[in-house]
Amino acid sequence: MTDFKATTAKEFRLSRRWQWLLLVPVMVHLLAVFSEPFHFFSRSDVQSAPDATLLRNWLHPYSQWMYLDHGYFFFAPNPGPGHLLRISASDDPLPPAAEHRSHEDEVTSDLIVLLLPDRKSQFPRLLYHRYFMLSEFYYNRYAPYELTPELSRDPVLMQNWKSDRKLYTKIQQSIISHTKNKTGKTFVRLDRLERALPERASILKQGIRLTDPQWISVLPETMSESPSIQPQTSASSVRNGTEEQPINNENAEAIPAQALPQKDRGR
Amino acid sequence: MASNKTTFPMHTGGDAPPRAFHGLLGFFFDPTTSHTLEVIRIATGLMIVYVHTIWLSRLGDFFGPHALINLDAWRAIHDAGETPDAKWTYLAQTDSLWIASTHEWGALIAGIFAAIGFMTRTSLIAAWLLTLLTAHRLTGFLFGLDQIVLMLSSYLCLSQAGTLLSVDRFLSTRLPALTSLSWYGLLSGFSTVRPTAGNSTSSVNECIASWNNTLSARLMQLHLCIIYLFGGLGKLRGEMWWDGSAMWFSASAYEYQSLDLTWIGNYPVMAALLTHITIFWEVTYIAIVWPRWTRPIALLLAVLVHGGIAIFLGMTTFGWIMIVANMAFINPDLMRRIYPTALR
Repeated sequence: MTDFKATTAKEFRLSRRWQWLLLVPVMVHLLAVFSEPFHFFSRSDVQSAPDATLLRNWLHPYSQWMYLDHGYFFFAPNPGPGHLLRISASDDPLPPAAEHRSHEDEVTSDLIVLLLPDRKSQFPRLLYHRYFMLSEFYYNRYAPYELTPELSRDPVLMQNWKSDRKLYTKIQQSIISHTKNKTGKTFVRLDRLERALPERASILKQGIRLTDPQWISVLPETMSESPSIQPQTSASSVRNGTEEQPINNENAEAIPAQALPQKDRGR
Repeated sequence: MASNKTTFPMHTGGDAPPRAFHGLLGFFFDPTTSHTLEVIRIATGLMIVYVHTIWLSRLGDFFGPHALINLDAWRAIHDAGETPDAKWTYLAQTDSLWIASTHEWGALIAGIFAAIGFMTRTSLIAAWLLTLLTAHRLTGFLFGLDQIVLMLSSYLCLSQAGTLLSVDRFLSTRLPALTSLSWYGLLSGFSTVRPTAGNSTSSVNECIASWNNTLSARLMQLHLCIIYLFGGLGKLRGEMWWDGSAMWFSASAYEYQSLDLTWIGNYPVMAALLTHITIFWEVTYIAIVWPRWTRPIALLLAVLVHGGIAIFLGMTTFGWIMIVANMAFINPDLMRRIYPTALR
């Protein structure tokens, strides 16, 4: 590769004994680097691979604190739709999540609408990307307001859903509290939005722009796809730190995402 | 102690990873110079400065009692698992904005010092630790950039990456009385190249080859190989990476877009080819980056892929830091050719 040779190098070499001693923590560290993505990949609906789980659990405190606990799923398994967070704030009570109408239909005069991320107001790009990551994080932590009766009969699923829902609500309340403080408004509603990935023909042949609203949809907060059983008050509409109950399903408790089959998550 | 052996061991014995244990020791500990690591240190230090500048620009959104993820939510996130969470940070013990601000300014200054190589060892450790503690507090806002910055800075802490392109070196030639003080040597990690009594000039002009540099570079290289291996394996699970449409759907993801790349849809063969080159490169990186004759291909593709991400997919910082990380595979002897004569 090169015929260049340094001629004046002063060399600092470890003794063999120290090399052997150092090799042990080096190998443990590399094992920690490997164990997290290995464990991440070794999960299925059936089980987590016992060897990967054992290795990961053994090294997990170290890899967690060293910030090595990643799966490295960059744009994998497939590039996916983008997720945004629309925050509406007003002095007047806000209507439920407007899944089937545009935001312009809202009838509050003092409405403030914030979007995460928003390339117009969040600059430079790294700042924009921080908010983008938050909206994706919020989406990934989604747990529906309630479980369907069939799913709620499974005690494991129910237990998982309760803890996931609790976590989701905490994050929700935190963002709402932040917005109330920032805007001075009394009522805040969070809407999870999804921008679908368009087919090639839609953009290149039909000329529809990537920014076209048709690619955006509001994701529901319940597992039901039917607007008729949407809660009258959105699950995201939290007032005084308390989650309001849906009017038509008062005894329902909601279930977290990780507890649910993949097809039931989000949308 | 003079030696002319400053290259990575992979260049002296035919590039394949060593087989015997002694070869393994040599792989990790045979001394090399810091010509490559110095450049990585400067780039990583500057990136740390930029990262903390961004946190500081909207401090109230990220820290304090009214943060988007407040301490209540943070605790819920980190207590949610079955096993205890080890992501301890003192920034999650208090919601004081003053403390957060001081922390971020400290990290920013440490990043500047790391980049310019002032008290290099200490500033690198401080920059890494403060950035790590920030990352633990800011769950939900992080992405690949943070992973790579922390990876590089942690390994740089082990190196002697402040012996060439650094204020420390400059001071050692101009103010030898200062740099010969033991406390300064301790802070800079520069003690090994401090001028020795009666031989100051020749000593500082020497090029230092140290086992720390090899260990640091090896850890970066192996860590990078693991990242690419699993990154590639993850993509293998997705049909879009096989049917060639991943490039189009990456280009049409508006939230990522910084420059319009949708024109690539007019050239489906090219889009599919780029998709397949990306996945084959990523999966095989761990194999093709070691042999001498395939390494330039692996690194060139890394520059193209990450350069494309930086330019078109809105992740300029991530793209750049990945290119910087790939520099760990550049032989220090090759890198020293671009150095000023005095530093070769």
